[in-house]
Amino acid sequence: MLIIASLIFYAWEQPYLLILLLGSISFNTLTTQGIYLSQTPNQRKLIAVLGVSANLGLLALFKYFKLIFVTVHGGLEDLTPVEAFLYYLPLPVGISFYTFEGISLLLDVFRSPEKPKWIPDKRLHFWYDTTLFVSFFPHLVAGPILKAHEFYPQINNQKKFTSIPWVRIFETLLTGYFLKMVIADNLKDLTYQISYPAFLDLSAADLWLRLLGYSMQIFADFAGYSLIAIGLADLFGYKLPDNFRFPYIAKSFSEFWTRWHISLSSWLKEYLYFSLGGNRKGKVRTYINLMLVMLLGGMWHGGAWSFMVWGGFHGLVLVIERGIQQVVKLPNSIWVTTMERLLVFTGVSFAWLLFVLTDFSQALLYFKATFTHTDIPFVWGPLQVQLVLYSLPVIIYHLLYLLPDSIKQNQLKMAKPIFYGTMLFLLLTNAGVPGSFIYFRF
Amino acid sequence: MIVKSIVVGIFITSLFAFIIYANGNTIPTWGFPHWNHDNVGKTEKVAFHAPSTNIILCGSSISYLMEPYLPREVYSLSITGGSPLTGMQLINQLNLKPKIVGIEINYLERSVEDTYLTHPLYSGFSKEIKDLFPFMRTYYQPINAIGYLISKNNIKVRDAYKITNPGHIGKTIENMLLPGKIKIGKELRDSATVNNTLKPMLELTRKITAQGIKVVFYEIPMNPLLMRTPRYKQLIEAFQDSIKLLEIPVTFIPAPKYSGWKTVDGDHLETASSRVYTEWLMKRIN
Repeated sequence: MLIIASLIFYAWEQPYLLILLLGSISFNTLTTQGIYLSQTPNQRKLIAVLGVSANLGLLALFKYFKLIFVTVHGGLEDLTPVEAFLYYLPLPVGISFYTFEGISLLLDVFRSPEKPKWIPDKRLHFWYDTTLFVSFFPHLVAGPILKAHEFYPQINNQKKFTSIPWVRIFETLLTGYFLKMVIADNLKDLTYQISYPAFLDLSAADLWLRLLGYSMQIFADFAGYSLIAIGLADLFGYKLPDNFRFPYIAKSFSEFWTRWHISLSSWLKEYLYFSLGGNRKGKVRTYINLMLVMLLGGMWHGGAWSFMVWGGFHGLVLVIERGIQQVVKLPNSIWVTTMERLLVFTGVSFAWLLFVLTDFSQALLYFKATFTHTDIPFVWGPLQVQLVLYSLPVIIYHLLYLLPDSIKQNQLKMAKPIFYGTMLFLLLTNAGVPGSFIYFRF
Repeated sequence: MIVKSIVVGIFITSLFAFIIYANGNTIPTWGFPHWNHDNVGKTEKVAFHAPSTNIILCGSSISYLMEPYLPREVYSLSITGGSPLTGMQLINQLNLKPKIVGIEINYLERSVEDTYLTHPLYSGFSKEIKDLFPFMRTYYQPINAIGYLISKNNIKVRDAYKITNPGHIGKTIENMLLPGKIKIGKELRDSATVNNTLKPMLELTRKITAQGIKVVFYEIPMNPLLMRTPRYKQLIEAFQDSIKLLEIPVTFIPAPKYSGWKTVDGDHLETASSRVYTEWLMKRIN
């Protein structure tokens, strides 16, 4: 029933995309069976390599063909019918998510010396399980990215109505909807001037303010979606992995990546970074691995060079940070920690520019303008006040996390009904004009 | 915890609803912080407090800049980032009966995607719910009110246009002339533009004039570079051909020929020019 509902959900807007989704599911089911039924290690390896390559090839065809074609061909003149067909192929919703989940299934089984216990014996049963794993509607279009070994064991667990964790679901869903509908949907209309050439007319202070707003917006949008997905899955008895853990309190870029889009960063770590050797093969190799993983992580977001630059930036700062940490040990004072947090937050925020201004030169222009537009007067009008007001809940959300555990367990616990009651009130009276989720386009 | 939170939520909401009710469900004085709220709020105002003005203007953001200089008997239904069709649809749906409806024609290539009034996706909740619970209307949003109280000087979206760096204007126009913005040289007559905007515009004009309302189309001056693009010229020709097909009397007021108009970005008039043009138009529209 859940499978049928999920497939209807996916097919609702573009039914033909279902063919691709079911094709990918069936291919990964058969390839996985091929891996664990293989007689020799070489055969096993060959099937796994073919399976992973096919998944990556599918992703590349839809996501990177345009970019590669324009770069190589130089323009869109004189397209052959085949080139035109491939160029104008639309990006299937959720393809980045479900191909990574397919790869997770293949690699989990490949790494296991024998057939994992969570794979059912009957082939059709396995196909059903894989279909649910990939198509389960809360995570299908924008994650969190699931790992096979975490999800499959949950499928055949008995699910009882009485064991539904209602309080946790209430808190998760309410926070998720609040972040999306009240914060992200309002902030999106306040940060729209981070577009070329609109930002050219803004003062330096205004540019900083909008950058802050966008950082809060992208967090509220994606963390909001993830919480809604986690809450909905919980209703059906499935536990999805956390995707965010207060990322803007990170004291280092490496810590940031343990708090932001956790399902992607842990996927990259588990299936790519470790496969490349991680940090076990010396300093230089570790740096190369970090750069490679972050570049690929950037590319995962889309077929534009700006995403690669974004990944490259994060890779570079991770390498520099690792190098510095090995030489310098900073004192553990509140001032140093605060400065570290501000530095990481500022770096991360500037990098978000590449998500909005996908033309690298425009992002650079914005960056320069934040320092040079001091001659344009700054007006403290309602728009600027609203930017701060709508950013505040996200800032408070992060700051509360930093409170001592004793306060969190006593005073904050008592104040919970006030927080959630206020969120409920604002959902009814202060929702923004709805916009699509930012991560839907990835 | 769930029950306590719901009780707190209901309590705060009831208090808020009571304050709104005690003030007679009137339109608040606070402004809208951004264009999207302004659009929704503006359509809500029309829906729940139908204007009794003699003239209603339907336009896009370039008409929006005329609002501070409009006389009291004129109501503006200018949708920023949108199309005059939205305003026309509202007049038709709500059966409004002003004496004159003014329709801006500068951005004819923008089609109407949906109405702000009946589509719940645009405004959070549908008109029926907002009818039942007035406190859920966009123009009452509490954070807007707090923002207004904090900032005091109620600067609206249009004021963002005043603060501009003249050095960037040339660049902005250059950018607007790029393919994909104002599509230079692209054949217009058989394109989707005519089907998406001109046809529904003519149908709505027929319906509005059938109510005995006078329809006046007006063109706002823009930078000559933009007005001379083949695409724009074709658009105006297509529009003029279309109104001939109407076989009903409508008035068209083209932009006055004057080289002194100043825009901030090529198509939005600067404050002084906007005031002069608004006063000029008002004399002719009546």
